Amino acid sequence: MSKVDPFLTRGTAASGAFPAASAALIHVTWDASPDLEQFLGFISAYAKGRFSNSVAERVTLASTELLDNAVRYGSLARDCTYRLAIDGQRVAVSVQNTTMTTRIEMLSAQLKRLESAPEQVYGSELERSMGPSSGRRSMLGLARIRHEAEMRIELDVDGNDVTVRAVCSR
Amino acid sequence: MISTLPSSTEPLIFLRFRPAWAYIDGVREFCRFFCETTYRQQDLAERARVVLQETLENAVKYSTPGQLSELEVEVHADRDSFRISITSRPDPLHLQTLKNELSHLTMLDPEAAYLSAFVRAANEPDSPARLGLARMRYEARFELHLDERADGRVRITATGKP
Amino acid sequence: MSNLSQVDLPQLASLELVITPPNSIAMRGTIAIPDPGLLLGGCFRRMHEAAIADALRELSVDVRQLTFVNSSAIRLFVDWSSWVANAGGGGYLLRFRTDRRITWQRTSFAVLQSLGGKRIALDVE
Repeated sequence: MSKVDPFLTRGTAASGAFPAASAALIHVTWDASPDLEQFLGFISAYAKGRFSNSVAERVTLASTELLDNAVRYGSLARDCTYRLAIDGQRVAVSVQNTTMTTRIEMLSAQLKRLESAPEQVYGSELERSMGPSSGRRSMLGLARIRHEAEMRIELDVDGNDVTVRAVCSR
Repeated sequence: MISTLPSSTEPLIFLRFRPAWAYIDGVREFCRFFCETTYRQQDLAERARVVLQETLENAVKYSTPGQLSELEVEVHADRDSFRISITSRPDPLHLQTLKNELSHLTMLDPEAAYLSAFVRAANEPDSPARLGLARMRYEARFELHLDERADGRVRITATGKP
Repeated sequence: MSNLSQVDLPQLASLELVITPPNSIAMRGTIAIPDPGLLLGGCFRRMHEAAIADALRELSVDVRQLTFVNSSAIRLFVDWSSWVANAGGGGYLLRFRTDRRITWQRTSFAVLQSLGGKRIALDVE
C-alpha cells in the first residue's frame, strides 16, 4: 500500500467546497468565453512550478485542448469550469460545461473510437485537420491528449452537463 | 455589468500553491484579468489586484515553512459582494501582530486609518511599513476579517462591493 | 555635470527610472518586488541628497506611468517626503506628477501631501 501523502490528506480535509476524493489545485468558473491565452499562460507557469517538466507539459496540453473544445462546443450556457486536481497519485485536468445532447452523444462515440486505437485515430485526425473542413477540430484535440500527452480521457455526463477529464500519473 | 452567476458556496476561483514569492505576480495578474473579463469593471479588477498583492505578500512572508504550509486563494462573488480569501499557516508571533493590527485598524474609518499608518511610517523609518492592511480598506475599499481554523491555519477574507 | 545626473540607478526588470537634468525624474512600470527598500531606498536617498547638493529649488518626480506598486513601495515615497519635510533651509519642493485614473496615486499622494506640508506639491493630470 502506498504511503498516504500528508499534504493530500490535509488538502482534502481543508478544501470543504470540493469532493474529498481529490485535492483541487486550480478551480475556475467563468460565465463568459474566456480569453484562453492569458489563462493558459497562467496554468503553464503554475504547472511548471508544481510538477516535473514532463507532467507540466501534459497538463498544459490537456488544458489547452479541453478549454478550446469547451469554448467552441459548449452551447447551452456560458458557464465553463476548469479544474486541476491531484487525486492520489494521479493528476486530473477537467473542464465542465453545458452542451446539447447530440454533441454529448457524438463526443462519447468519438472517445470510444479513440480509446480503441489511439495512435491510428491520432494519425487520421492529424491528416484531416490539414484539410479544408474545421469541423473535426475537437477530435484532434482529444487525440492529442490521448496520444501525445498519454493521458486517459474520462467523460462524466449529467443531463446536459458534461465533464471531460484528462488523467495521468504524477 | 455584474456577473449573473448564481450565488453558490463554490468559489469562482480556487488556487492552491506553495508560499513562494514567485507565484504572487502570476496569481495577482490572473485574478485581475479574470475580474476584468468577467465583470467588465476596470475599477473592481484594480481593487482586487491591490487586495491580492497585499494579502499574498503577508501570507508568503509569514508562512511557517514546511510541506503543510500551502496557501489557498478563493474568490467568491454574487450581486452584493465580492470576497477574496487567503488561507495560510502563519507563524504564531505574526498572527498575534496581525490580530492587533486589524483590531486597531477597524477602530478608525478607512481614510483615517490610512493617514495614521502613513504618520506611523514617517515617524518610524526603521520599522516595517505596515501600510498594506490600511491600504486595502482605503484604496481598495475592502473590509477585512480574520478566522482561525481548527487545523491551525488562518483565513483572511477581504469583502468589497462590486 | 549635476549631482542628480550622476546618481547610480538600479536595474530592475519591472521598473525604469529616468533622470532628466537639471531636476526631473520619471518612473515607469511597476514596483511589486519583495522589500523594494533594499534596491530602491538607497537610490531614492541618493536622489534626495543630490537634489540638495545641486541646490535645486524643485525636484519633479513623474509617476504617471508607474501603474502598480505594493505598499512597501508606497513606504519609499513616505520616507522621501519625510526627508524633504525635515531638510530645513537647504531643502527643495518635491513635486509629484500623478495620473488621476490610477487609484494608488490618487489615494496615496493626497495623503502624502497632507503630511508633507509646503514641501510637497501635487500635479494631478
